[in-house]
This record gives sequence, structure tokens and C-alpha cells, in this order.
Amino acid sequence: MASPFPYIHISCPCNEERPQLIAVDSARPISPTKSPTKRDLAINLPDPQTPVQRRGLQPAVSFGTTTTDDDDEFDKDNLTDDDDEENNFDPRDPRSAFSLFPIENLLYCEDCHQIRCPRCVQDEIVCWYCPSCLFEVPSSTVKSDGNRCTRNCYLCPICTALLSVVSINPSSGPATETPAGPFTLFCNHCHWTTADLQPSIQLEKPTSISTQLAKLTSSPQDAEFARLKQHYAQQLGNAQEDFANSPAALTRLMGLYAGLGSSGTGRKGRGVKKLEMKEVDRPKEVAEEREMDLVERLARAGLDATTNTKQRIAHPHEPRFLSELKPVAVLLRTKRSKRCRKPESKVQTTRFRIRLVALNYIPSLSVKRIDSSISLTSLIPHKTHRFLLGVTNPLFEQISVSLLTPQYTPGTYYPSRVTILCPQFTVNANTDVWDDALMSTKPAVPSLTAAGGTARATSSSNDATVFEQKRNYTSVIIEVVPPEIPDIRDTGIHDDRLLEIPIFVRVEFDAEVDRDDDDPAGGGALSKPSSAAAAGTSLLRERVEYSYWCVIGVGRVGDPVEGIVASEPNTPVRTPFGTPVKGTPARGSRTPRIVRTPTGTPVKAPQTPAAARTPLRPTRP
Amino acid sequence: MAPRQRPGASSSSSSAPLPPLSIDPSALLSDAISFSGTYPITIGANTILHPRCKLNSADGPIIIGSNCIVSEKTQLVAPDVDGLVVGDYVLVEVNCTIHAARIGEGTSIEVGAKLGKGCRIGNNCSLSPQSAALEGETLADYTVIYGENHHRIDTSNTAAARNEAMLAHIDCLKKLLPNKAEKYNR
Repeated sequence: MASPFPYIHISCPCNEERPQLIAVDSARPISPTKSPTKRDLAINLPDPQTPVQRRGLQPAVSFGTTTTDDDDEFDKDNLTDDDDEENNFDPRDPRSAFSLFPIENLLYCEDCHQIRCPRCVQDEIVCWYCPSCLFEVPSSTVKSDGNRCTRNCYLCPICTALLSVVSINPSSGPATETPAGPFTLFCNHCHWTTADLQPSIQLEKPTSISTQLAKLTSSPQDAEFARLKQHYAQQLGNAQEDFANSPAALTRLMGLYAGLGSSGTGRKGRGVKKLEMKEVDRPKEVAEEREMDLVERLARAGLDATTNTKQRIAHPHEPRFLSELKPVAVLLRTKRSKRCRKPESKVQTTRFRIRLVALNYIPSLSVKRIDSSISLTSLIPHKTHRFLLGVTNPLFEQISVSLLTPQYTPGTYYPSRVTILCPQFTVNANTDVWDDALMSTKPAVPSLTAAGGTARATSSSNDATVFEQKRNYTSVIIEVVPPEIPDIRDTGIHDDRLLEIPIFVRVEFDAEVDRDDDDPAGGGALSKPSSAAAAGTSLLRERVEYSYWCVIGVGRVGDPVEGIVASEPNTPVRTPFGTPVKGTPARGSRTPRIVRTPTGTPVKAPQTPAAARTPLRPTRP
Repeated sequence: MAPRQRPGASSSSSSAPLPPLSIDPSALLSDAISFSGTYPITIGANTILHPRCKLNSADGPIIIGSNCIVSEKTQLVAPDVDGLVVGDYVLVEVNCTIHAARIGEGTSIEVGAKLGKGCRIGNNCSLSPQSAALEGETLADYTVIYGENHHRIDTSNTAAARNEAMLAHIDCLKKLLPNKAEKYNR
């Protein structure tokens, strides 16, 4: 709620992967084509038909999409309005709050063709590396030697900057290739050197610093730790020998608890060896500090010479004085990748690894107010607010977009009336910015002219136009009439005045069939070479369709303004196409206009199915 | 906001008179250095002034020693009549604001550091990037300001080496930067 208006959140399909409660109601079988209603399940179950991303599948949703007689469709919609509401995405549903993300936070899985949110991806460590020398460290080394760089990278214990190796005798001259030792580690930032230490550390060679330091700075703690580690590693090694791949080991594991109660020794006869881990004989007490010495030292050196908590924690020997600090080896970092949370037998496989963010795959929406005098934090009740809803296409194909929204915003007692003036339109491909300029001799994008042609043909039957069309961007007008809403923000859980519009975005386009991409079921059905070879240059194409719910937070409804009252006849009626434009009061705002494209053809919403525009292969089952 | 004076405008055009300058012949002054004020400005031998650094002697004289480097967009402002005295081998990095009364020799002032009015920096000090010396503060010799304005005393004995590095740095800059010193000598 803190995000400034307007905001657009996209619902991740993981919202719909809900607990399988469908079996609860056994008395009433659930039809595969019709979703169970809220009353059936007592929770708001999403429409199973709500396609998240469906390749080559024509959905049976009742939203009018490609049919030409839209009025009939609309009537049907009205009749089944009750059902419609049940299937709508409710932005106020407590569950949906967890699946709504700005598009920047979303990822896209190329293998399951679905939007993935941070909740439904998994981080995966690709490798470990040192951020300063950038060397990759194998995970086995990380396990054995710890997650610090074992090469020459050390940090200053005072200021955590990287230490550099300098020669103690700078008088050797700047030109000599190999400066003579001894060397110290020097911090260029705070000028700390290992020569500052109480037993000052001097290195003989400028390389292999780790081994030199290990020799020089071995503390009793380190020695004891190494001793313990060696002991237990040995024990573990023995145990692994016992456990490794032998059926006896499995038996013993299974019988581990069974044998505890009665007689543990009885099993020895059957050849199952009892695993024994021995403790270290005599753990040494190290670092006995004589307190009086410490106090004396403190009195001499003063508080400035003591370490702070951070420095003390960073060192295994917990130094109390600055002069006891040691250089700290650089912590390794991990390079990670995101993976779709889909079960995959082989971990190493690159399938389900997410390569690009959702912005590269799904069209992004944007909302602007047309009339800049509108205050988004206090929308005026009963007034028709017009917003510009823009769709930007990231794909290299022209897409046709259908935007659908419930007539009244769901999930609240005070629904606002929402109308999208041109719910169907095309957005041109995300071509290179310079393509048009470079290929000026070539006629403009053929699909665009085709679309224009069809639009001209059908323009007599509908007036709806897109507001603006640019290279890969199309915008339409959305009208919102908020009602009067009492302000119960202080008492209520929900902010009822918050105006959030759920919009169902459906995108269709013709994609080149990518063979590597084919899922096994669909891949077999396509006979690859014949048609492509016969057509020569023409590529195999398929109809791709996907859809998602998004929520537009338009603003907050403010207090009612005198003079603007509910006037039912004046408010727009929900129709898929632009008839309400005439009916709505203009209120000084601009009316939608036809935008001329460079070719001079008016761009209109195409009404014909895409098959009429481009020769298509039959859709894949 | 009042229109800002174009950098170098005062030096190249005769709109504002330059303060009395005494520039050592071996010093290297780049183009578009802004000198302003009325008190004299002295620049020592072998010193490098990068383009677009600003020296303001409105309230007092500025004396820069030898073998210094003053970087771009840095302001040197004399705090009072006693002026600003910069010792030898002083490196002043980019974008610093300096109102100090004294900067001791061998001191390096890193990027974006701010020196409060009238502060006195000792010899061989080091101010890390974005650090600050407070108004009127006096830093002892070999003080290092690092991190969140933490102070410590440098015991590394690297001052001589740093001076040597400064000389190499100056040699390199002398090859790279065009010298426009005669422009300011009038």
C-alpha cells in the first residue's frame, strides 16, 4: 500500500497452485470446464480455465476475444455475471496479496512458460568465488578448508579494505622487478600494516601468503581446533567406510533404534558392527587469560588500543587489543542462479533454470492519467476518471492483446465502475529502433498494414480506437467511476477507499517454433522438415497464447465533491467496444483519437482472428 | 539559484581580475582553473593543478608547496587572513572542499573529503574518501581518518615511499596534461 499511485502488480500463477481442496466436496462432481464457486469450497478458488500461459490452446473462457458478434457475447457475459464474479481475481483476497509483484520482481521460466515470482523460484549456488581474486573455489575445497580465500587475499582487520603486499625497504628503487623482502601486508586505506602487530608479521615471499601466515600466526586455539577437527574427521571417515553402500550399513541404520531398548549387544553376533564415535581424550583448555595482566596492559595502552566487538568476533582468538589482530582472509561469495521449483531428477541439468526476467517475455503495462489535474490520492466520487493504459511489447513478434476487467471492482462493498474503451488491440513487435529508418525503402511492417486494412473494413461496426500507437507500445483509455466510500481506514483492516482494478491480460502471437524448446508431448506431433522445406523461407509458426491477472492500483478515492453526484445514465455502460464514448460526459478531457502511423493508415483494433492476417499452421493440441 | 560562474571564465576572460599569482616556472597549471579573490596565491615548484579546480583567496592568501597535486572540481578556500598553507607532497583528490588553515606535508586527501573551516592537518596525514575534518580541528602528524570518521595513528613508516609515489605520479601527469601556466602569468 505504500507504493505511490499508480502502481501495477502482476499476479504470479503460484497464487493458483493452492492446496487441493477440490476433493472435499464429493457430493457434487466438479466439471472440468466450469470452476467451482466460492460456495463450493468456501475459499475463492480461481478459475481453472484462467490460463496462465497456454501454448497453442484456445481457452474456453467466456470473455469475448475473437468472435465478431460481440454484442451477443456481451449479453452472455451479463447473464453469467454472477459466475463471472466468482472467477474474477480479487486483489483484496488475502491470498492474492502474496502473489502480487511488480513486473520487475518477476521471472519467467522458459520451460514451463510461466511467470515465476520470488516465492516460486529457488536459489541455486553455481559456484564459489573469491571477490578479490575472482578465482573459483570448488565446493569440495569450501567444505574442507572453509569459505575463505586460500590464496593471497586478505582484509584489513581495522577497516576491512583489501591488504596489499609491500616491501619493507622501499629504498630498493621503483624500477627493480623483484623488490627485496621482507614484506608486510599494508592497507592502503587506513595504513595499517602487519608490522604494527605486537610480534610483527613479516613475510619472506610476496606470494603464497596463506601458507606463510598460517605458520606465523598459529595460535594455541588454532592448534587445538586442528587437533579436534582431525580427530573427528577420522571418526567420520571410519563411519563413512562403514556406511558406504553396504547393505549391512542400511540394516544397522534401520535397527539403530530397535536395538536400543532390549539388548544392543545381541546384534553383534549377526555381523553388524556397532558404530562407535570416540570423544577426544582430553580437550585442552586454551587461552587462559591472566586478568591482572590484561588490566595492566589496558591501563598502559588506554581504551584506544582495544578492539571493538566486530573485530573481536571476526577473529577466532577474540583479541582484546588492536595489536593482536590478524589479517582476515576474504570471505568467498557465491554465484547463484534461479531455478523453477519443478522437480528435476538431475540437478546439473540446465532445464528450468531461469535465464531472463519476466520483463523480457511478458508485455508490461503502464498507467498514466490523461488529465493531470486529477489527484490520485483523492479521486472524486462519481466522476469519470480517464487513464491511459499502455502496453509495451518486449517480444520480437507482433502481439494481440485482450484486456478484460470485471465491470465493477470485486472484493469490496463499494465497487467502482471500470470500462476499458478498447479492450482488444495489437502491439507491434519490439523491433530495432533503427529498423524503420534503415529500411525506409521497404514497406512498413506488413502485419501492421494488414491490421489497418482489417480495421478499416470493420471500422463501421465499432468506434473503439487505441489512443496511441508507437513502435512497440500501444495505449488505450480506461475509464473509472469510483463511488462514494466512507473513510474507514483507521478502523477497518482494508482500506476501502483504495481503488484497485484487476485486469486480465491475454496475449496472443505467432511464434517461430523453437525446436529445443519443444516439450516432448508437442514436439512429436510436429513434423519438422517437410513444411519448412517446402515453403523454403517461411518458418514454422505456431499460435502462442498466454494470460495473467494484474492489478492496477489507480489511487485512493477521496471525499465526495459537491456538484458531482451519481448519474447512472451518464456513467459509461460496460461494453467491449467503444459505444460508451459518446455517452460519457467529456468533462473537458480529450477524447480518444485515431493516431496516424507513419504509413498513414489509421490504426484500429483488429477484430478478425489472427488467422485472417497471417497464414498459420493449425494450433497445436 | 543564481547562475553559476562558468569555470575558467574568470581566468580566461578579463571580466574579473585575477588575484596576484606567483607561480613557480616548473609548476603545471591546466586550462580552466578558477582563481578568485584578492589575496595572493603562491604555487610551488613541480606542483600540478588539474583543470577546473578552484582557488579562492577572498579572505586570505593561499600558499601551495612544491610537488603537490590538486585535482579537478576541488575547492581550496582560504579561511581567514592567515590564509591556507599547503605543505609539500600534498595530494588533494577530486571534489574536495577545503577550508583548512594548514595542510602538513605528505598528506593525502582523498576523493570528496571535506575539511572544515580553519582546521589544521598535520604532516603525513591521510583522509580517506568522503571523510571530514571538523571545523577548527587539529590533526596530529600521521593521523589517518578512515571509515566513519575513525581516527588512528599511522605507524607503517610508509611516508617516504608515498612521497616517492607522488613524484612518479607528478612525472606521469606532466607528460599527460597540457601546461597552460603562461595563460595565468599575464
